[in-house]
Amino acid sequence: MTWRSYADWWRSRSEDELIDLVRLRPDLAHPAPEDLADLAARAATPSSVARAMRHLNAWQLAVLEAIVAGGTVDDAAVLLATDRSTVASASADLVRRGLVWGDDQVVREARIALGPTPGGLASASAQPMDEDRIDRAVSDLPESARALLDRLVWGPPTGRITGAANRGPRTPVGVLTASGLLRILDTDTVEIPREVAWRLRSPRRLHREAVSPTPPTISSAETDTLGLTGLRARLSVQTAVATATELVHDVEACVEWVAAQEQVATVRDGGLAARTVAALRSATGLVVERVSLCVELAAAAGLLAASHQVNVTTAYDLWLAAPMVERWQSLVRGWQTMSRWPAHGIVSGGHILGEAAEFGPARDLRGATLAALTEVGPDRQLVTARLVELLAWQRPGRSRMPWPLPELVAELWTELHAIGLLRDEGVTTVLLPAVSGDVLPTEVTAHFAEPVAEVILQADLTAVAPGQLTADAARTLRLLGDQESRGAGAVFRFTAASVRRGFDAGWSADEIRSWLAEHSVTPLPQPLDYLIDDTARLHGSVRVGTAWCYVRTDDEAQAAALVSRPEARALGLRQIAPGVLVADSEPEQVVALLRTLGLHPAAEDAQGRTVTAPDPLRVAPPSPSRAHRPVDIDEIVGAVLERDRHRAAAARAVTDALTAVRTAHADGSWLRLTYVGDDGTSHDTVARPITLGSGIVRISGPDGTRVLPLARVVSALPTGPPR
Amino acid sequence: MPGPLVVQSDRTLLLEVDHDDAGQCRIDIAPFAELERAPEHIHTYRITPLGLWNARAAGHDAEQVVDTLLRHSRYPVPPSLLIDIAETMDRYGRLRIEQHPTHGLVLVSTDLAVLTEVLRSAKVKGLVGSRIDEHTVAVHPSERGHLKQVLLKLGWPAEDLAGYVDGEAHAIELDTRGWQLRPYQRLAAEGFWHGGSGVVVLPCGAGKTLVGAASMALAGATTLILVTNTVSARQWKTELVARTSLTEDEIGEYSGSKKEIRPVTIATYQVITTKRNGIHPHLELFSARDWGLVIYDEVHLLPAPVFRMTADLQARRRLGLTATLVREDGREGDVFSLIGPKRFDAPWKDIEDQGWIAPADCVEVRVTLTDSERMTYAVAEPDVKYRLAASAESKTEAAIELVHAHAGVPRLVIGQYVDQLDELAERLDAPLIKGDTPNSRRQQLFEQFRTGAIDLLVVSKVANFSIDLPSAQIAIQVSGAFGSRQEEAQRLGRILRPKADGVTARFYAVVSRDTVDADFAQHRQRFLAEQGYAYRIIDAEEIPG
Repeated sequence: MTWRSYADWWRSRSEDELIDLVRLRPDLAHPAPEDLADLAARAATPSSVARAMRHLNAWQLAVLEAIVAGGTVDDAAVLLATDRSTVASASADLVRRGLVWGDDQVVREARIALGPTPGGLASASAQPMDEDRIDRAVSDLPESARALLDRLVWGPPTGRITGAANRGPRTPVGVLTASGLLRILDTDTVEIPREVAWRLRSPRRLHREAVSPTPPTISSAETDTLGLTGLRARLSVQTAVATATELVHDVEACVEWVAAQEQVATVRDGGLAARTVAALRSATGLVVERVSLCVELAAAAGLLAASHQVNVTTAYDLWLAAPMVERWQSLVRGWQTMSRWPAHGIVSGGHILGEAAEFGPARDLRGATLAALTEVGPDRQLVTARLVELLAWQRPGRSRMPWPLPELVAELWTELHAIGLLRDEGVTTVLLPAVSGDVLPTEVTAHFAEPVAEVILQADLTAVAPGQLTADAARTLRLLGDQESRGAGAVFRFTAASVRRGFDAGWSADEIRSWLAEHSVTPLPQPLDYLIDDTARLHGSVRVGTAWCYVRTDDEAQAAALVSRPEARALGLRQIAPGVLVADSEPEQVVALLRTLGLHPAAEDAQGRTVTAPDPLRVAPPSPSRAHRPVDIDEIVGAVLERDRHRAAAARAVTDALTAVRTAHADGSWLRLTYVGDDGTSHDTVARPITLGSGIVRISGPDGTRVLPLARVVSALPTGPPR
Repeated sequence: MPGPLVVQSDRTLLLEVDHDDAGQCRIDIAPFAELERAPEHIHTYRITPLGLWNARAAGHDAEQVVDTLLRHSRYPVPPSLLIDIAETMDRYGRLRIEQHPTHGLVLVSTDLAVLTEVLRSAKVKGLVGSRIDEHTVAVHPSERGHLKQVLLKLGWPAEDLAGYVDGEAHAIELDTRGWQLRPYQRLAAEGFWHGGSGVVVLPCGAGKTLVGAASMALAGATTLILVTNTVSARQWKTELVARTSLTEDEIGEYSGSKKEIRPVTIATYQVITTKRNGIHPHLELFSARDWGLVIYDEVHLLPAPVFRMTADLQARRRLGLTATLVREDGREGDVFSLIGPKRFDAPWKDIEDQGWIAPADCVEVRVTLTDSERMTYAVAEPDVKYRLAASAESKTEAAIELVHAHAGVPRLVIGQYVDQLDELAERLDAPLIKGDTPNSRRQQLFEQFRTGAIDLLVVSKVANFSIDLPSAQIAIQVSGAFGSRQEEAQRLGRILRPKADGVTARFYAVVSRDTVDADFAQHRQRFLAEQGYAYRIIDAEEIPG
C-alpha cells in the first residue's frame, strides 16, 4: 500500500494509534491540533521530531539510524547484525511514535537529524563493487594505503586530503582510487564507497560499539542477597532510619540557623554568600556538601523561601510538628521533584541556592535512577558504573550534557546515601514506599523512635531529651532553653537569657515551673528553680510603656479613689505604681475631670515644670484696612520725579554722545570714546570717526581702525589729537 | 530493652546513668570518648579525633568502637558517624616512627598515598631527610617531636615505635611499709610503662604523686620531675622520701632558690621558663644528666616553652600527670604528640565510690548587698565591677558567719583579693598566706594545719595548685578568678582528700546576688554540677548558726 503523504498515512491509522502517538509525544497536544493534517504537519516539524528523538533509547535510535542507512527494516537488521524480529519490534515502536511511517520511511527531519551519512556509510554506489573484487583489491594494498582506508571504514566515509585528485598513482590515494576502493569527490575530498566500508567492517555492523537491544542491568550478576556479615548485617535494617533521622536533624539545624539570623541576604544570583555558608557551617558543624544538600532540600520542601533574602516559611512550623517519618518523606518528595543539583552549588563560582545549582535534567536523572533502583529492589549488590551505562542507554542524550554522566551519577549516589535510600552498595528497604509516596510499612516506621514528651532536668541547668521530642515540647524547650546538642536526643541549656525569653513570650515563673515539672521525669533541680526565680525577679524590674499623660499624688488613698471612678475608666486612667497613674487622654481632659471631682490638680509640662494657669483668652486686635491708611503724597511725587530724572539723564548722555560723534565726523575732530566691546567690557580710546551710517561708525586712531555699532557707544567727549 | 546511650549527630554521647547497663556502657565507651559533663542523670561524652587516636594508641580498634556504640545505643546510629569514626581511627598508625637498623630514626608507612601527602606538606619538609625507599624516609633525630606535632596537625598522627634510651640507671624502689599502692595507681603506672610514654589522668587527691613514684620504680633510672611551683616541689620530695627507697640526698631541688642536680631532680616550670636576655638559661637541666624518665606534674598547665623543650626529649620516657586533659589554651594536641597519648583514666566518681577520695557537698551562699553597696556597684565602671562585687563587705560578713558556724573543724578561706583577705584574717584572727609570704612560713603554716595545731587558714590564690591540705573539711571561697574551670578543680581538690572519720567535705562559695559575681558563679555551678557534685544554693540568712 502506498500513501501520498505523511498526513495521508496518518489518516489511515486507527483512533487508538493516534491516541498512542499523542500519549508518546505529548507536545503534539499543545495546543490542540485543528485536524489530522495539522497533527501530521506538527509531528513532522524539526522541534517535535527532535523532542521525540530525545526520548528514544540507544537501541531505538540505532534502529532508526539503521533504517535510514539501510532503507528497510530488513536491511536495518543486517546493518545491526541481529535478527529481523528484534529490529521489527523496535521499528514498530518508532512507527507508534510517528518517526517511521509507510514502507519503512523515516520522517524527513529525523533523517536530517541523523546526518548526511547515517551509520558512517556513504550512499549506495551506482555500480557497486562485488565482494570478491573488494577482497582482492584489499589484499594487494600496501600498508600505508590500508591505514588510510581503515580511517574511513567506521565513518564518516569522506575525508579531506589536500590535492587528492592530483596525487600520483604510487601514493596511497592513487593506489586506492586506481583499485576503486576510494572515490575522488572533488580535488580535496575522497570517499569510501558504501560496499567497501561495509565489507571491511569487522564485525559487520552499524557502529564500532555494539548497541544492546536490552538495557544493562545495574545489579551484580549474582542473584543471592548482599553478603551481609557482622557489622553490615546489624546496620542494614537501621541504616536507612538512622540516616533519614540524621538528615531531618541537619535540615532542621540549617533552617533553625536561618531563623535565628536577623536577615540572610542572597548574592546576585540568588544564592548564599560564601561568608553566610561559612557561618552556617560553623554553627551546624556540617561539611559544605552537607550544608548544600540540606539547604537545597529545605528550599525544595518549601521550608525556606529565597528571593532577595532567605526566609523561613510557615510550612516549616507544620513540618516541625509532623512525625519524623513524614518530615523525612516530605524531604524525599522535595528531592525527587527539584530541578536543582546541590553539588553544583558549591563548585567554584557557584552558590548554594544560586543559579549554578539549577539543573534542568535533574528530575529526569533522579526519576530514571529511582525507577532503575526500584526495579532492582533491596538486597542486591548495585554497580555504580552500570547505572551510568543504563542511563546513557535509556537516553543517549544524557551522555552529551555539560557535565560527564559518571560524575553526575557519583553525585547522585552520594545524595541517595545521604537521604537514606541507598546503603553500602544496595537499595534500602524504605526506598520503594518512600519514592512512590506510599505509607511506609510498620516494620520500617517502627524503627523511627516514638517521640517523647518528657525530658530529664539536671542540676547543671540542662534538660536532656532521651529521644525525639514531640513538636510542642521541642518548641517550648527551644523557647525556654538554648539547644546545645541535636541528634537522636536533644540537650537544652537554661540560661538567664533563655528563661527571660520565656518571660518575654508571656510565661510566668510559675507557668515555667509547672510546665517543666509536668514534662520532667526528675524533680526540678534547685539551681534551675533559683535561676527561674532570679530571672523572674529581675524581669520587669524596669518597665516601659506608653501613656498620654500621668497623674501623680502623694496621697495613695486619693489615687485609689480616683481609679475607682467610672469617669476615670473612660479616660483610660490606671494606676502603675503607688501614687502614679497614667491616662490615655489629653492632659486637659484629665485636669478637667479632676476638677469636677473636687480635686486641685496642677499641670506639668513635658519637662516636669509646673504650668501656671494661662491668661484669659484674648485675640490680637484686627489690623486697620488699607483704605484708611494715611498717604504722604509729597513722598510719592518726590519719588516719581526722582526716578524720571534718572531716566532723562541717562537718555541725554547717549544723545549727547551721538551728537558728539556726528559733529566729530563732520569736522574730522578727535573724540575720547567710551564703548562696550565685543566681550561686554567697557573700553576707552581716542579716535576720529571716518565713516558714519546705518547705525555704525568706523573709527580710526592710534589703537587702529575699528567698526563700532553706535548703540555700543556710551560716551563721546571732544578732545585734542593724540600725541 | 533499649540501651542507655543516645548517640548525637554532633558526636556527643548521652549516657543515662540510672540505666541498668550504664555501668558496663561507661566502661566500654571510656577508652574513646571524653567525659565532658557528669551531672546527676545524664552524662555527656564527646568523641573527638584525639580521643579516638588515644583509644587507638591504647590498642582499641574501630570495629570495637563501632560495636560498642551499636550495642549500647538506644536508637539507630547514623552510618555516616560510624564511617567517620572508622576512618578517623584508621588514620592513627598509618605512619610510624621507627628505629632503622642502619638509617637510624625513620618515618615508615605502608600507605604510599599518605606518605606522599605528608611529605608534600611544606611543614614536613625541613623535618625529614632523604627518602630511603618507597615506604621509608629518614627523620632527623632532633625533629622527632616536631614531626609528630606536625603530623598530628595534618591529621595523620604517627605512632612512635622508635623506643627510648634507658638513661642512667638508678635503683628506686617503693618502700611499702605501712601502706600499699592502690589498685588504680598500680594500673596507671603499668599502663604508662607498657605504653612507653603518655599521660595518666586522675582526679585531685587520687594520689598522682604515688603513680609517679611507682613509675620511677619501674624505670629504675634517673628522673627529672617538673612541677608547678616550689611548695609543690617540696611536697614531692617529702612524699618520695617517705614512700620510696630514695634518701633526701638523692633528690635535688632546682628552683628559684636552689639549683641542685641529683639523680632525682625536681624543677619548677617557672625556673625552666625563666628567660634572660632572650634565652632560657636553665635549659641545660634537660641535658645535665642522662635522664631515664621525665615526669610532668599538672600537665594541663605545662607552659608553652616547655612544650618546645619537650619536643627535643622524644628519646626519653615521659609521664604526664593531670586531673584533666582539658587545657584552657586548647593545646591538647601538643600534649598528645609530645608527652604521649592518654594511658590511664579513671572518673572521679568511680574513685570516690571506692572510697579513695571524699565526696564533697557544694554550697553557693548568696549574699544580698546592702543598698549603699548596690549603689556603688551600679555606678561603677565595668572594669572594676567584678572586683567590687567579689570583695563586697557583705560577703566578708557572710564568710565570717560561715567560719563561726563550723567552729572546731579544719577550715580554709580562699580568696583572690589581698585586702579582702587581710581584713578577713584580721577579723578572724587567723594566719594568712599570700603572695609575699616566705616559703618557709608557708610550709610551717601548712604543716600546722595538717597536724591540727591550727584549724583555720586564710589563703590567697597561691594555694591553688598542688598543695596538699587533706585535713581541710570546710573550704570557703570568697572570691575567685572569673570562674575558671581549672581553678574550681584545684579548689575542690583541696578538700577532696578522704577524711579519717568519713565526714563529707563542704565547699562554700560566697556570691553577691544580682552582680557579675553571680554570673561567674554560674560557670562554677555548671562545672561542679557537670562533675557530678551535689550543688545547693542558700541565702546568707540561712547560714546555720
